[in-house]
Amino acid sequence: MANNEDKGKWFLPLFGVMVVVTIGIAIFIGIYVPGDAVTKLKLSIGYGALVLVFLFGFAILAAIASDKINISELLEEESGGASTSRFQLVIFTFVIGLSFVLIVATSGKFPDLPTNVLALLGISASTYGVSKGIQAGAKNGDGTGTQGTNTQAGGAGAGDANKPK
Amino acid sequence: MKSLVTLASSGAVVLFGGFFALVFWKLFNGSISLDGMLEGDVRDQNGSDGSGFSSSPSAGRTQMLLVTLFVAMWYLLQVIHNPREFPKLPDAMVGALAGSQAMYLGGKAKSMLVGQLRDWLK
Repeated sequence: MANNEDKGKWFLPLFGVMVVVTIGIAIFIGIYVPGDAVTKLKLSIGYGALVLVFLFGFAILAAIASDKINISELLEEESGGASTSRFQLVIFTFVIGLSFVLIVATSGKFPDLPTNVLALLGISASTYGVSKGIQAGAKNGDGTGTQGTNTQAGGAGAGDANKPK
Repeated sequence: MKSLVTLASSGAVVLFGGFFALVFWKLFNGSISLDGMLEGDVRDQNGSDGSGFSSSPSAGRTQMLLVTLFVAMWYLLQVIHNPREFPKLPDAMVGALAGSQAMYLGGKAKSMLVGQLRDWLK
């Protein structure tokens, strides 16, 4: 595991390579693709931006796959144990995100968002936020900030050192 | 420019699909742990480990998980059937989801805050 000083340093040379590749593609289009100057400029910027964003996303994916970016605690509370409120937020974010990509890829335009889809996301995110608020409130209510606080029969894990699990 | 749009769509599908696949793979192989997802901790001064808590299965968590999975699957199926626009969710379904999550939060607040009050009154 990399220490704090080394965190993220792997990305800098990679980012340099991405920028060089992007500029190379833009120059290639500018020289070899037929058309007037404005068309070449549009194509260079369009393809350059697309390649840069794709490489950036791909580098993130590769880093997650190789555990350079660690997402093993994506669903965990700070004290351990999976959190249902985090899990439902992840599920709804994935569902709406995947739907968005599918709809844009199929229709080729930016879709309108129905209000009840926004409500769905709002409910999901609010549940997570309120859940964290309850945990923080209970923690503060103990006075010490270190005493066990997570006492829910229906709730997610709370963040403190003495909590079981 | 049409090929640029096609490439952008394909790139987005690859990146989003890859991210979803990675997260689900890590869920399945246990890298992202789901241990204790359906267990709630209950204040228990006689807990065996001396921490003041004991774990027990939580109905609040279970019902919220089931409702969440049902709504998410229903929504995904609607999108797959008609991937040209965001499907509208029935108000009843949004209400059921809100009720489920309110029940979860209510149970959590009750057990955390009422437990504190009870300890304070002792």
